[in-house]
Amino acid sequence: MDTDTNKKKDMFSDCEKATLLVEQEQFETLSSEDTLYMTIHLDGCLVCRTYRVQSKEINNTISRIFKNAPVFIRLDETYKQKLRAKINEAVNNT
Amino acid sequence: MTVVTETQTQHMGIKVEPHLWVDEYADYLYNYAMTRLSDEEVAKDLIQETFLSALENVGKFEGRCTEKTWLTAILKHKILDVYRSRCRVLEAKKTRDSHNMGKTFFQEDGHWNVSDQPRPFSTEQAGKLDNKEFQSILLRCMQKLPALWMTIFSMKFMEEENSDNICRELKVTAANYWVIIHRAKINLRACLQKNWL
Repeated sequence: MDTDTNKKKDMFSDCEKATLLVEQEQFETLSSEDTLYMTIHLDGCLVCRTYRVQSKEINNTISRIFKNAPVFIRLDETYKQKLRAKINEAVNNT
Repeated sequence: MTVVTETQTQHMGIKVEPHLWVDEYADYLYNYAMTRLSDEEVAKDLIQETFLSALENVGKFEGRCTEKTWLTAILKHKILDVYRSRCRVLEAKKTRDSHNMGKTFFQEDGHWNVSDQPRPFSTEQAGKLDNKEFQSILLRCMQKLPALWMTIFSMKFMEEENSDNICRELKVTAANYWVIIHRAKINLRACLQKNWL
């Protein structure tokens, strides 16, 4: 068997391109050629199907974090005091 | 009790209460900035700038939205300025970030390296994707991304920016832009697999 042929990328082997298209499809409409490429690859590749599910979950989580901005960390009280003093000063100078 | 604790600013019948801003909004705004910038000092500076800028422009606040929404919009505008300045610096320096795509996850023929293949989340883990622990690990993983990747990736999730605008502003070609998003995501997912699964 020709080794070079084995190393050639195509729509069945190229997980790298398929996962790039997975990223792209979440934000914009793919061309019909790219949609076909991705569909054919995903149909035969469980690993990339897993990637796709997780990629969407990660995007959804990031969108939620960005939208809701949950409080994970709190500013220290010293910095808050400094902020209050700055605001106080600015208000008094107005 | 300081003077400011009793201060209210009033114009056009709209009452703003700067003396309450730190207690009511500082932590929220700080987290908002940290998730998008991953830089403690810059985030702190932006909170201060946001409050002072809001005070200077209090006459322009017409009360069509809440104080919180108004302050968040000012902060968001400042975050976009930071993104732009970061990109200018990165563009000028032509840092390794834009050329070095880091670890290779794929073989020559495009297949995943066996050790890098995504493993399915178990049902129990999948159910925890909403929880704070997962979100906190995700944010830590985002903070490990190279600055350019983090900036481009974060901008993708800023509500008003579409990818064409980002490409134009960052002077990154569309092809390179998607390669960066892809690399950022692959690294992020791998970091989650390592630290959470």
